[in-house]
This record gives sequence, C-alpha cells and structure tokens, in this order.
Amino acid sequence: MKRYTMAAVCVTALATSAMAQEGKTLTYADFQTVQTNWQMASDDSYLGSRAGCFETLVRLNWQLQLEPGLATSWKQVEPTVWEFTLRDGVKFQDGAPLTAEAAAGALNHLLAAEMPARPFSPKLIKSVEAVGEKVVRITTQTPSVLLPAQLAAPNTTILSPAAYQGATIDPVGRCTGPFEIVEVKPKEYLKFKRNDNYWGGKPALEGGMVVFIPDANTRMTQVRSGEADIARLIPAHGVKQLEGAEGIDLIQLKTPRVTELLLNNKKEPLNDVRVRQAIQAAIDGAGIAASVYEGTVTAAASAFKPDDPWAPKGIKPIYDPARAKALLEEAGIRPGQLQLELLAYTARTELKDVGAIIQAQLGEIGIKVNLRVAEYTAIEPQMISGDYDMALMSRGYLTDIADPFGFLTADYSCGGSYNMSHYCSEDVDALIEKASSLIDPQARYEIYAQLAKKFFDEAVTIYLVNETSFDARSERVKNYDMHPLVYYLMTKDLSVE
Amino acid sequence: MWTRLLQRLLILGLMLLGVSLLAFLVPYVSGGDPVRTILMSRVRDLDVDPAAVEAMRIHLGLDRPLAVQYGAWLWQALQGDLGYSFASGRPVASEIGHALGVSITLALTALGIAAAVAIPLGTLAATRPGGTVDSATTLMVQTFVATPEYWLAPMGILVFALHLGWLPSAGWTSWTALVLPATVLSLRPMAYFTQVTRAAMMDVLQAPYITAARSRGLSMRQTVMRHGLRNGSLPVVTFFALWLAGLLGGSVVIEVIFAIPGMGRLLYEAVINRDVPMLQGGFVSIVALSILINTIADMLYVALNPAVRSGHAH
Repeated sequence: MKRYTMAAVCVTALATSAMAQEGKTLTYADFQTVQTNWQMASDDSYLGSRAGCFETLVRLNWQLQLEPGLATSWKQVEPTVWEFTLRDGVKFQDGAPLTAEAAAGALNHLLAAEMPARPFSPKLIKSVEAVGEKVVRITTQTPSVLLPAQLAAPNTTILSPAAYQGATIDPVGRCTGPFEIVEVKPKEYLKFKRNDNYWGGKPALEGGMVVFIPDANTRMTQVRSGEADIARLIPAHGVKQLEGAEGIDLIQLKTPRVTELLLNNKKEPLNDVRVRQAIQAAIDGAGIAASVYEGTVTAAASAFKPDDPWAPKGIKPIYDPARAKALLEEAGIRPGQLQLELLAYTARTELKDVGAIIQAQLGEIGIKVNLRVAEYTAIEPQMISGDYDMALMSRGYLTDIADPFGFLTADYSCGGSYNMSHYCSEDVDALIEKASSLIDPQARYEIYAQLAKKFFDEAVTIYLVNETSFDARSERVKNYDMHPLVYYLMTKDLSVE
Repeated sequence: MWTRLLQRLLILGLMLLGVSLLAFLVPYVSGGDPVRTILMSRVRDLDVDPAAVEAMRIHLGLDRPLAVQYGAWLWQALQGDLGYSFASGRPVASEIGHALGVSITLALTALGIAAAVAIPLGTLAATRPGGTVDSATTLMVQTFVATPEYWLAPMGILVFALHLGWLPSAGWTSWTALVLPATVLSLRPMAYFTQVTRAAMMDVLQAPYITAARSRGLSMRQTVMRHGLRNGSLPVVTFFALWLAGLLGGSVVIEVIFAIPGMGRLLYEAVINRDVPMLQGGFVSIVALSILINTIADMLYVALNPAVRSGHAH
C-alpha cells in the first residue's frame, strides 16, 4: 500500500512539473525606467531590447561578434553604400510582414527624430531606402566600415509601421522579438508574453515582467525574497552581502568601462610628460581597487580591459613612488611647490573616496591636491573650456557599438567631442583616420592597441581601474549571462526550473 | 471670515508665482548647460553630440530669452495648461495627477495609522500622568522621532518581506504593497500626534467643565469620552493638515526605497533631469494644494470649536 502511495505521489509530482513548464514566467528588477516614452535615441530602446521585444537588423553576440538579426547578410557595395538583405518570413507581432519598406520607414523615423541617435544620426547617415521587397540600402555621409555594428545598437530597432504615430512610438504588440510587450507602467513595471510565432523558434518562457526599482538594496532583496529572479546592477557592498546567500548566484561581467584620472594635457605643468608620468607612478591603482571597490574591480593600465581583442600587450599598472619623485625632480619641480585641483562628481559616489586616496598619494611625492566634489554639470564647463587640472571620471569606451572607435575619436582626437584631456597629436589623428577605413576588424584592433599603448607611455590619462558589474540571479534561472553591452536579457532560450 | 478667505487667495496667487519662478530657475542656478543635462539623462552617458544639443535646445524652446520662456509658461498655465515633460514628452498635468494620487494615498494611510494610534494613546497617557502608560508613551515618542526612515525602511523590508515573507518588498501593485511604506512613514507623525494629544488632554482635563461633569457623577471614562476627546483632539486636526501638506510633496526616501511612483520620486527625477515644466507644474500643484488643505483645516477647526466660531476665543 505504502509503495502505491509513493508511486502516486511521484506521478502527481511529474504531472505538475510538466504542466508548470508551460506556465513559467520570469521577473527581473531593473534600475532603469521607461523615461522618454520610447524615444529610440534614448536608453528606452535598450530597455525594450532587454525585454526581448525590440530587434535590429544585426545582432551582437556575447563574444562581441556581429551576427545576422532581422537581416541575414550585408555588404558594402560602394565606399559609402551598404545593402542589407532582410530575413524571409519574419512577421511583426501585429501580423504585418517585415518588408524593406517597413525597415527603411523605421530607420527614417529615427533619422527624423528630434533627438538624433548617436550611432545612427543624420550626421553619419545620408539616406535609407528600400530596394525591392527585401533589400535596405543605406548611404553614409563618409565611407564607413562600422555601419553593421551601428545597426546592432538597440537605437536602430525595427518596429511595425503601425508603431510609429507621428513623432511618438507605441511598441505594444509591434515588435519582432521572442517576447511581446503587453503592458507598460513607465515608473513601475513592464509586462511581456511569449511570441509564439517568433522567427527564431518558440521561446522557452511563457512571459514575465520587468519591475523598475531605483534602489539597489531593494533590488537585492527582491531576488533574495524570490519576488524577482534576476536583479541588475548590484553595487560593491551588495556583492559581499550576497556572496553567501543561499539559492543566489552572483554573475559578474568585466564591463567596457574605466575609472580614470583625466589630466589637462594643455595646461602647465601637466603639459610636461614627466610630470604626468610622475603622477602615474605615484598612484596605486591596485590599492584603490582593493579598498574603495572592495576588490570587485582590477587595477588598469589601459582604458581597455585585458581580454579585449584590442587590448595593448605588455603594459601593466605602475606604482613606484621613488620613480615618481625622481621624475618630478627631473621636471624641475620641488616637493611642495606644485598645487593641483582635482575634480570629482557626485553621481558616482565612489569617486570622492578615490579622490581622497589620490590626494594622499600625490601628497607623498610633494604635490598638494585640492579635491573639489560637485555635481557633474557644475564641473563640466570647466573641463570643456580647459580651465582645470585633473578630474576623476567613469567612462565607457564601447558607447553604442562594439568598437572603441567612437571613444578614441571623441576623447583623443584633436577636435574630439569629449576631448577633456585637451590632447592633440597629429600621429594619433592619422592613426584614427586610418582605422576608419579598415574593414578588417583585426587590422583596426591593432591600431587601437597601438593607441592605447601610446596613451599609457605618455601618461595622457591615468587609468585607475577597469570596472566590473554584477547581476544577482536566482539559481533556478537557466541560460542567463550578462551581455557585454547589456543589449539583451530576455532571450528565446532563457528559462527557469 | 470672507476677508480671511480673500487674504488666503491673494497669498496663494503670490506664492504660486514665486514658486513657479524659483522652479524655473533651478537648472540655471546649479550651473552647466541644462540642455546637455537633459540629453545626458536620456542616454546615461556624458558624451553628447553638440549638434543634438543645439537641435534639442531649439525643439524645447530653450534658445529663447528666459523672460520669454517664463512668460510663455505663465500664459499657458493661466489657461490650465502645464505643458509637456522634457523627459517623457507626456502632459505634465496627467503625470502629476497620477503621482499626486499615489502620494495622497500613501500620506493619508500613514497619517490615518498615526492618528488611530496616537489619539487613544495620548488620551490614556494624559489621564494618568507619570503612570506606566505615560512613561512607555514618552519612550515610544522619543524613539520614533529619532529613528530615520532610511534606516527603518530597509529594516522593515528585511524583516517583513525577506524573513517573514508577509509583505512585498517594493512596488505599487496591490494594497499589501502599501502596508510597509505607510507604516514606516506613520511613525514620526504618530510620535508628534501622541505628544500633542497628551498635552491637549492634560489641559482639557483641568478645565472647570470637566470638574463639573465629574461632580455630576460621570466616571472618568465617560467624562473623557463625552467631553474631553472632542476638545482634546482639536490640535491633532491642525497637525494632521500640516503633515498632510508636508507629505504631498512625497517622501523621496520612502518612494525610492519602495519603488513607489509618487510625487517625491517625480520631483527628484525632474531636478536630476532638468525637467523644467515638470518642476514648475509639480511645485505649483503642491503649494496650491497645501494652502487649500490648511484653509480647510482652519474651517474645520472653526466648526469643531464654538469659541472660535462665535469670535469669543481668548
């Protein structure tokens, strides 16, 4: 009798688990809310992409390689003209077919938007047109090898023609992705359900939701209490708390972001390479990583993290106060003679602590540092005009696309839009120019590495730590790993036990 | 009475003008280019395209002289149009309406909890000054006044959401989500209400009519219930209104920790994003409502207190 009861229990258990598979959903907690009512140039496009709804012509895989998305192939037919061939049989969630006209319409809507998207703005793109049913032709303003990478950025999402209502966009039921957005409360949550007709195959999960929770501690609690299955962006102090928590995995990603000490290369005495090198040798990046960041990050020699394909080889962080003193002496600066102002901004709370350490360490080689912490917008005008000495900055180098070309151009070319170092070198400009014409990624990467080495050797910027970000994931979640550029989260294969 | 109302209206008008002007100037006071900040908040990156900045400046009308911008806003506001949010592009009035609804619900619940505990407790403490209840109440009052919300809220979440699992840790989707934030928010007003009730009751219980009532043979309990409570709770009405007006602007700490889409978060984000129309609309609505609530409280006070009503208050 007992045996039969056991068998019955097992059968029931099996039956429930099989049924439950069908109804499985997933909730993740994000810090970001729907802020701009789905303007594609804003981060809202990333939110829609992570929710598994928005899709682009090209996809960027977890190894930062481009893959077919809504387009199956692309080629550069002329230096300024690219043609993208669309995937057959794709339908939007409202039933409309994906045609060249629909895709071109979506991209033209983006070009006409009041707020242009950095990777796909009229400054870069001349025109987008449909050629027949299946081909989208894009003409760039100047010869461009980066266009396919730009068309992987979530800003260039293709939605059904019905989603575009004048200047505004309503993505509910209008995407192509594995999940369909069904309800949006801009500051509270977003709900989605499975797209049974997804071109890539049937998604494992039935649906789910994103809850928007600005406070990091609350996000952590949501995963621990089981209210959420994934919490995005756990701060350093939370990492220590969650490390021992039962049923929770911490997953980490070396992010394409660096905390750096910007130096005003134009201003005396920082225009002297020896003074900059002295500062470089006086700062202990490893110590900063261990203390302020509680060991969750690593000391940097370059803006690029060591496993990037464009990372420079053979350089590592220097920490040598004796050498620093010698360099200062060589530059004719006596201990106590030099006073510098160091700017830090409040949005990144850790920067003021980093600033205090730098203040102490430069003090040891006889440079007096005045630390000023203010809101970013209050210090930016000073940095733009070149009326500052040093500034602490957390800077991403893969903005929008998986290639640091934009970062190098903006931060280190003579007329760069974010050249706060006020650094200008003909050699560097020539190398950047050369990279922009190389279609072979490896060849470009070699130039990037060469540039990074040069910036290190000349101590143009002092790179302090390569940043890491953490997500907390319930153990029952399967097939989730952080995407390097946080493009995707809800994928077809994501599931829960 | 009518002069008083008229005075109130005049003050209201002047205050609204002043507040809207201050809110309008916030982005310029804090330095930097507001348009760059607006763009940065949308892409969470520091490097913004200068061409985009200029296009945005013209689109938002921020290229016009400040006086013209403010005048245009005022003219529209007088016609009941608060404009569109710089961030979401949605009408300011509807966003504020939604957020105010949330904050009012939260504030009324919190103050309701506070009054429900404070009035009986303060009364009880007043009937036996120096007794056990009175001493315990004093201790409670001091503890609640001194406990900061940013500590209490996470503690509440840890205990009730994480360990006991009784309540959700955050959100605004069901009434259960209201319990924890409202309770945390209620403790400080609870402390003040208790103190005020206790003091008022002590006064009332020494009044001649109480002695008269007692001498007619009414028990202490009956005396308090029939004569004391109504008079003793009068000051709480004023305090309730003051707190309600204060909480209309939301509680940034509570709303951020519990992810509640109320006024506190709306205004906080508007400041960060330099969302000028939202700031102006938000501050103007809050000030107008606060003055309205205080006026209503004054009227209520008059209605409850015959001495004030007939002009014989000492």
